[in-house]
Amino acid sequence: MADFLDIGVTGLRAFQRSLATTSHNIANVNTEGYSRQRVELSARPPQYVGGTYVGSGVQMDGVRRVYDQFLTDQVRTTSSAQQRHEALHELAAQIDDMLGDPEAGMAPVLQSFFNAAHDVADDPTSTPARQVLLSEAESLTARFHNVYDRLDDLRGAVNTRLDTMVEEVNTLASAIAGVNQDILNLPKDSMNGTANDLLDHRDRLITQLSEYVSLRTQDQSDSTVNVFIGNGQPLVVGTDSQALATTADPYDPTQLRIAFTGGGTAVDVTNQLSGGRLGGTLEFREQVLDGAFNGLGKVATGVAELFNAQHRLGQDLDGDLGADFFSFRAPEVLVHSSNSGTASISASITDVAQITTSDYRLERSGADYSLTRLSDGTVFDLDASGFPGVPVTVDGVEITLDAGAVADGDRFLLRPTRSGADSIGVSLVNTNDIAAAAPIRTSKSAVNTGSGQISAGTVDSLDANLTQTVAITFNNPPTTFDVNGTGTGNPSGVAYTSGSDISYNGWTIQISGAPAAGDTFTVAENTGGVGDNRNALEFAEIQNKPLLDNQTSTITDAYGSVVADVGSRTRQAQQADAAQSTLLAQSQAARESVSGVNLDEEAANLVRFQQAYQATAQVISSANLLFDTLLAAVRR
Amino acid sequence: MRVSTSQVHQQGVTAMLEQQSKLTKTQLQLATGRRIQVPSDDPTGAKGVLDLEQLIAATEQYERNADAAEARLTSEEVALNSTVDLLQRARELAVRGNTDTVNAEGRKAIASEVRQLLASLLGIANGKDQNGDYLFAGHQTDQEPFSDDGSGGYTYNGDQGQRTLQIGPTRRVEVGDAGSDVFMNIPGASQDVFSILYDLAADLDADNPDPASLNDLDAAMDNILTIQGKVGARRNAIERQNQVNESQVLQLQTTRSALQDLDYAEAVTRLNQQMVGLQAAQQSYAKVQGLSLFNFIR
Repeated sequence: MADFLDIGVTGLRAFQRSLATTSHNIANVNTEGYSRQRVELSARPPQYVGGTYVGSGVQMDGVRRVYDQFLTDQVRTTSSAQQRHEALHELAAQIDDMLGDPEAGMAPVLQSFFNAAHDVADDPTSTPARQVLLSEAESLTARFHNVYDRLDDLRGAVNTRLDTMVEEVNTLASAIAGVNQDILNLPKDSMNGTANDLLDHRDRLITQLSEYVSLRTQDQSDSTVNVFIGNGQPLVVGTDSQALATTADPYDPTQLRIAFTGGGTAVDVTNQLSGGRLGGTLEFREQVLDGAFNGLGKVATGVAELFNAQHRLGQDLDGDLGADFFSFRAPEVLVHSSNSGTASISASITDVAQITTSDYRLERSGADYSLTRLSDGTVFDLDASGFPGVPVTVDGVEITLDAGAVADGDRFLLRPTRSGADSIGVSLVNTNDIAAAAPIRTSKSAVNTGSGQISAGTVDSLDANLTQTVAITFNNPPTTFDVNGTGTGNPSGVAYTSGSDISYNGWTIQISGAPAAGDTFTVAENTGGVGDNRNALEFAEIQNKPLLDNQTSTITDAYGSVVADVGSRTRQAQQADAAQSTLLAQSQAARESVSGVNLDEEAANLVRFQQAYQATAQVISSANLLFDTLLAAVRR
Repeated sequence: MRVSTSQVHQQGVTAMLEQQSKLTKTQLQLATGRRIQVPSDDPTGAKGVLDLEQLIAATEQYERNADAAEARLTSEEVALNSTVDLLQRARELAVRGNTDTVNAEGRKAIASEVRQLLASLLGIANGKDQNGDYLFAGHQTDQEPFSDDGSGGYTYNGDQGQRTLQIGPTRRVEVGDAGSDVFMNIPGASQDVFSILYDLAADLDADNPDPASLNDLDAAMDNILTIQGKVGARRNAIERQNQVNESQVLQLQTTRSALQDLDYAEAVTRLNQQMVGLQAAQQSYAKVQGLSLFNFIR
């Protein structure tokens, strides 16, 4: 009989707890990362009374957290992957927008510049046409600078983001360690190890951390969790957390790298971190931003070098040989911060047809000097070509040791095209200095009797004797001719073939037809030739000729490659982001399906436990009635 | 599969956000008329469009160059036509001067007219083109090419240069002839055309006409006719190249349009579908969110 009341009380207690847990679930329906809790009830051990076992009510075994570790791990993995692609996409899309914009991109302004060059060729003495060419050149260089500045802003934004993210990671890491500490401080729970809500809290912290960087967790027997990032760096071990920090790149102090500061030393982990926003941002910088800088720089280098090379072969309105049209800085050579040598190394572009968009690392190991092309890992043996004693040329870039010595183990970073778009400028200011004419002119003597014709001639290179007067006189019979002029060596009896090239002193002409004996043809300086447009015709056509990439790409091709590269990376990132988002949604749905709170279910449970409580209360009431009856039975 | 309350909500919201995002993209396409908004929409297409635009711009520049060439050749042709007329008149005068029916007085009168013709010819030879450059000076277009010393000596101060203009990717056309070829070095004559006329006038003045001057005049006219032929051929070449350029621009523009332009019919249909999709997502969210057991347990 006493059991009757006891049993009722156990029921009341159990259902009270159940109702409390159900309302806890309902209250936390919108809490992120919450795992629903279930009260585990079991029958109390029976009592052996009078030869039979009699039940003794219900007991609460514990509050179970409905949870699946595998599903939570899935959410973390897909979260890292999705955030990585989202970060990459978000940043790459900014470059994509800028380069492809029909008004803001480089294509229209490149076109206007070369059109203006054609207009000068159409009317070489026109000052307005020349002025327009100079203005278009200014617009072109301004646009290059503009795009470069936007890329540079992104570079700065990446640094800022890295700083912020590293701080977030550190905060989360110490929070996780703090929760580990709390868990150790609290008394043990028989079912879960510790408080459910603390476990949920820690899970949420770890999931948030996985959004920043890929990680692995390891459960310990004392209910703490260890967290590892990169390729095994222990970010959280029990109650201790380590920290990440941003450090300056040893070659380029304006670039940040990530270091792991565990055990007192800082280890560079930039190349080991992957996944998450941090991994995605680092990937963006390495694969998209650096490529955009270099690709754009290659276009600018191509324009400046090719145009200057042709311009120098011409003659301006003052009768002088063409000066540099564009100004251009030499590529930068960066010194590693731990170098011990005193070397000062410089680089210059010598063959623009060979330049690539890759960066290069120069290093000395013992007696070996090697240059590694970082895009594909090709190594060039420099000391075999005489470096550092003589300058050496690789991929169109000449590298020279100017002063000092390279110590063993020293390293240098060479970035030939990185600042191309920033360093291009217009060197000419005076319209008279535009070299539209060619420096030589050809003529045939008025007293020639044959039908020989001489071509207008082209200039191939700047020879010291380029503008010396050279006379070509035909012998009798006119199957050979003599050449007379400084720098030609005055050869005689040169065989004549109609239409074939004749080259001396850096120019090339053709004589065709049937010259008679004694006929003379002359090549001389083009004094007063202001109406000559031959050099302008050449430099106006630079845009349409494949002069880059070993004579396979035009300037437009080179720019198009940059646009297409960035475009396809952005597209890849976008598609990967979409795919991963779907996977993330699926894994979240799977997790929610197990651990999420369903209000209808809890409502039904409320009704269930409420009824059970009412029924149990009725049991108490019955027990009371029985007691009263008993008391009434024994009262006098 | 068991679904939690927040999952129901999340899925509804995600669906609406997705529909909105697609709708916005279609809207932007319709507003700009371009299928490719950013290169990542279609990277190879975007590069193709860049290449086409460069070709179109280059070809349009060749058309402008061809116009400039045409203008200059027209100026030259006008000058050459006047020269032929002038030499024709001179020949008539020379023939008349050579006949015995004319007396010394008459010859003096003819000489006088010949000198007028000579002055006109010098003016034509020193003429300028539409830009103010001397037509027949070779490359030295800011210097008057022909000068006379007053006593029958004529000097050519220009050079033998010939300007060419680029009217096609591999096509250049000459837009002038050096004064030396037109007026000075005449095949079949022993002197330049000015000296021919000067001597003709002098001979007529001295009542001593020289029949050889007729041959010289013929040679001079033949030379001009030959050069006129070249100018005509160049103008034909320009016209042919213009046709090539025009049809090329048209073809390139068509290709670019195919790559870049939006198919409006398809886009509007898509817009309607997406709007319906968004409405459906919104309405179903509203309806489903209202369903809860708590509505029924009082």
